[in-house]
Amino acid sequence: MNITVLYFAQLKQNRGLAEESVETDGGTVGGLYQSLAEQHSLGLPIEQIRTARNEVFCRPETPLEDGDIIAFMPPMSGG
Amino acid sequence: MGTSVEDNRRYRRQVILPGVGPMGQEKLRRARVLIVGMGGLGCPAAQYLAAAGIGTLGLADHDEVSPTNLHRQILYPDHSVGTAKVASSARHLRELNPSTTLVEHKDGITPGNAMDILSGYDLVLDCTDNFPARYLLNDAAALCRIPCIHGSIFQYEGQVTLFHPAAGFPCYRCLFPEMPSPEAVPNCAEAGVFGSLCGIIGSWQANEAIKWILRLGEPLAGRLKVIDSREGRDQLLQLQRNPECPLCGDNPRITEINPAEYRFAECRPAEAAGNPVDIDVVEAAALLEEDPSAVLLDVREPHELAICSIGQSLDIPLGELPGRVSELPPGQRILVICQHGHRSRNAAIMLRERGFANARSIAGGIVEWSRQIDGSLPMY
Ligand SMILES: [Zn+2]
Repeated sequence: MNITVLYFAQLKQNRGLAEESVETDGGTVGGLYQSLAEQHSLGLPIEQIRTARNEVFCRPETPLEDGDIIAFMPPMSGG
Repeated sequence: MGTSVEDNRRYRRQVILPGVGPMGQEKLRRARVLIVGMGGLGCPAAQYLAAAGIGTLGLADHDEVSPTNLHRQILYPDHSVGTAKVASSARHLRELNPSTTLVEHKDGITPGNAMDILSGYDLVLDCTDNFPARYLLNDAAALCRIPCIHGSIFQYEGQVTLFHPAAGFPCYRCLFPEMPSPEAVPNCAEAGVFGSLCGIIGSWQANEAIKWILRLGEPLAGRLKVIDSREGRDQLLQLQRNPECPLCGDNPRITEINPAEYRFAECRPAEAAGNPVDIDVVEAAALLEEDPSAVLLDVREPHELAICSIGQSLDIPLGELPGRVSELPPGQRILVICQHGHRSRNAAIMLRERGFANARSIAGGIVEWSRQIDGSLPMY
């Protein structure tokens, strides 16, 4: 299935892009993060980010569906 | 104080708006709004709130104006460097609108004063720049049952939302339940910040505050607005109240302000007696000369390295370090450097937790190195 991935803040910096399209066999939102984090050395463990599916924050164990837009967001503190 | 414009002329273009009117203007006059953090977000927010006629505006910040603030903290003129932010901003806001009562909280918000200060306001703007302050404000606002309008920035990206558990909306801990470790997320000094973006996010915070007071439109509650100013993209992410939230959930762990909750872990087990994390620059320079196997690890960002660096360093930005520790030689001395010694300290502590017992942080960073060791390094 095809998933659109959005990266925010530090993850965007670490990945070097804001958005990408990935092919996956399924699984969960958190599982997708873990494989991308490993592949691209994203640097933040899953416990320190929030995940969103189709513009709604969701738990990492949420299953993926074809065409999903998945966002990965770390906290930001600047002001 | 200059000429004072009478109120019915000052607010005319605002009062004629559908949804405002003379009653709305009177609500603004009676409102008490607290801004915590008079930095990049607090400056524009304060200007719009004062100009709109908020009756009582509290300004809380313990900091002084520094030269690196000026590109984004637009209340501070060049000559204000070194003066207290609260005093300097109050002076300018008084000129902007003499009828707004300004309350100066010069000590900023601390675990000791948070409940006292917040209980005197109708809503609070979180314009701070660090996690302990953000968690403290979130918790104190929820315990005082007032809304907390959150704004935050990372480089070219910003976000804004309204937290208010007493009205059934989520809080910051529904989003991020516990404070992240300091090594996980860099701050403005470390990551850089785009000045005009502060104006955008700070203005959104003022916008949400005025809307809330006037009961106008849809508040950004339960919705996190994310603005990417570089790509021109916005996102609006829906956030639900989390029943497991440690503050506003069904079985809350946090029911009062406990100072221990708002400290970064300052004394970790990794900092063993006899093996201090910090090393001073003179000692560090001598050690690097004596021990050719010692590694100098520079955790600054590439744009900082471009300005200056000390030769023979291994360069890994702090954010990438957790994923790249395998590049470090086990068993060797590792001396970590950054600009001021804050990031390097977090890096050294993290490395010790990962088994690099000989990781140390060069106190004062490259700034101190240029003072004591090599004055030819360009500074920033
Ligand atoms: Zn909550």
